Amino acid sequence: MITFENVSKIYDNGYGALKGVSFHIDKGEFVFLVGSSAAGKSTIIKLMMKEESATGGNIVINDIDVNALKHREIPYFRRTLGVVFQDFRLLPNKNVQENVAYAMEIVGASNKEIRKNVPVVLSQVGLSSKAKMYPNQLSGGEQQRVAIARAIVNNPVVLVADEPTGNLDPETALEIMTIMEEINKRGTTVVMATHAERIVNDMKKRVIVVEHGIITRDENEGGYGYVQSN
Amino acid sequence: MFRAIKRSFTEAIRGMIKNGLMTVTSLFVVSACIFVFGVFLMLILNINFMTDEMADSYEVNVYIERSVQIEDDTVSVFINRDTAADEETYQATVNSIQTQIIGVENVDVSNIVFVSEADVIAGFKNSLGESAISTYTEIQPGFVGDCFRIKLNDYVKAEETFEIIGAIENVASVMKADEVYQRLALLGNVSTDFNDTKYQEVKEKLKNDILAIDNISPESLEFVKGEDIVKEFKKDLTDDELKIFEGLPDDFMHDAYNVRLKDLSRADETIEQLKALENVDTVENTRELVEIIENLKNSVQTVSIWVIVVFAIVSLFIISNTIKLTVHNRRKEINIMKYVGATDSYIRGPFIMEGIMVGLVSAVLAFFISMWSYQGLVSAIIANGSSMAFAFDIMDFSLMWKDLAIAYVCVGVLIGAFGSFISVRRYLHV
Repeated sequence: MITFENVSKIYDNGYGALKGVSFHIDKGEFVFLVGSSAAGKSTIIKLMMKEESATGGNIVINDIDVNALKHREIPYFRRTLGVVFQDFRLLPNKNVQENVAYAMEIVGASNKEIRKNVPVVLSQVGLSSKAKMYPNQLSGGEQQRVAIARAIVNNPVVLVADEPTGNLDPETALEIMTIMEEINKRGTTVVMATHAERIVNDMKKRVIVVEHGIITRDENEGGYGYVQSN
Repeated sequence: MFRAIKRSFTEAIRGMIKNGLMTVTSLFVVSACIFVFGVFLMLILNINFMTDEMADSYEVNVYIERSVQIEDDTVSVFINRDTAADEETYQATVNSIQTQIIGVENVDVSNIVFVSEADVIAGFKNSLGESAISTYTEIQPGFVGDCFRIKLNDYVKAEETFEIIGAIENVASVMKADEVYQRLALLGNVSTDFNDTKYQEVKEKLKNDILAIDNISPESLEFVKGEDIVKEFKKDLTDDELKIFEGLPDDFMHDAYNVRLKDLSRADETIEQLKALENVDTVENTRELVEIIENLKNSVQTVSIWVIVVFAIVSLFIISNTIKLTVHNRRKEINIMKYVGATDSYIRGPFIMEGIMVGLVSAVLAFFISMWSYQGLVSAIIANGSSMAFAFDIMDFSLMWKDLAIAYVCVGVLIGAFGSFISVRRYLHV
């Protein structure tokens, strides 16, 4: 499903963010990407999204050679991924329902499909009752749930989450994780970069630890470990 | 497709409203630019209109030669006989004139022949055709006089040489061969004109020669009789002015072919071609006017192109800045669109549309400003009565509004689309 093979990334300013990273994630897996700030987590996410291009190595996602993607093919590639951010990134002038529908409009879905799918995903994240509310009327956890609904409404094969619980209190963070786990159970591969030690330790999922641009640990049912020690 | 356009349109309206002041500013600046463009366009349209009008009224009159042409480059110097008391003094006078002629620069010394009066008359009689000889009455001796027939080295300076020779004592007159012929014909009651058959031939040949010139519009060729030209001319004259024509025959003007040209810019060349034709007396035209208009047209066009380029750049700059602002306002949204997998064209659409709409609305504004100012200007000119000062009519707005509207819309849309395209390329890293 997702294969990184000796991937390196050197930014234009000469900073070497990744120095030969290799891992393989199977379909349906739930993987935590763990590491201190500037360890290389975000770079891995950006490479997966093709927001940045790798300097060396191979990246294959869903049988697509990501390095070889042409500029005009990138949007279509991104439609196979759902993405969730720490800061939610909702459109303030659209209500919950419109925010989700927007993602479908962009990929050219028909009005009929939109009317059918949006309520389904909103109920999946438990927001059916708040479909007409605007982002500023929602709590942080609710906003993130809208963002998740938007990320999955086009049925992506991989859900990529970059510190989705970073701005939330522990309780709300757990709610979000429950939703993420449910999505994973329906067959969507989930890759989540995080700092949340407790969540990683509680969920007992696969953990890939990145430090100074290399993978220092990759274990199933792993824990957060020593990471913050430096 | 329709949905994409509709979305771009609503998003564009949103962008325009959100940008508020900047949108209004750019609308005014861009419509001002389009208006300036329009001023030059209207100027060009008017000048083209004038040239077209002129091309319609511009006529070249080719007057037809009607007298027999004398192909003879000799000059006759007639001697005054009356002053000589006897044959001896006359002989001395003749010799003295001969010596003095030889002394004149430009006279071909090897070609001086003395011709007696009787020989002059006999030579004339021999040259006459059948129809002319029938009316011929014998010229009385003493009316013509003896002469020297000479040739010149340089015929360009003929006038000058004629004066010098004419000033010699006892020289009665200096005439070119055709002048001699005319004078003798008058004395001998012979018409110098072509006879009818010959004239018809000449007319027909000239007509074909004129039509063979490619810049002549064939359907425009028109034959006008000399007396009709005179009549037409006299019509506009006052009684006082008409007095000048008293005593002149009704047909003192030659017959003419009036023609029009296909391409006025080649008028010079064509007129030279006409002048070179056989049996052409004179060629008349209003060439100076053509030149003035053509020059005016050229300079206005050159200036216009530069002004238009400058104002197009200003408009582009303004529109691209407005769009830049919209792009900046909506950078978060653009970012989200990118992550969800929106294509470049989907993201760019609304911005390009906004540019096009700014251009379009500016074009409409500029059109009405142009219309009102043009009509105001025209009525002011008419009210002042100064339109009489113009040789040509000012183009009515109803004749140009379609051209103007099409040009404005095209320019507005192009500048709008291109201006926002520049912005979107530079500031929208999709």
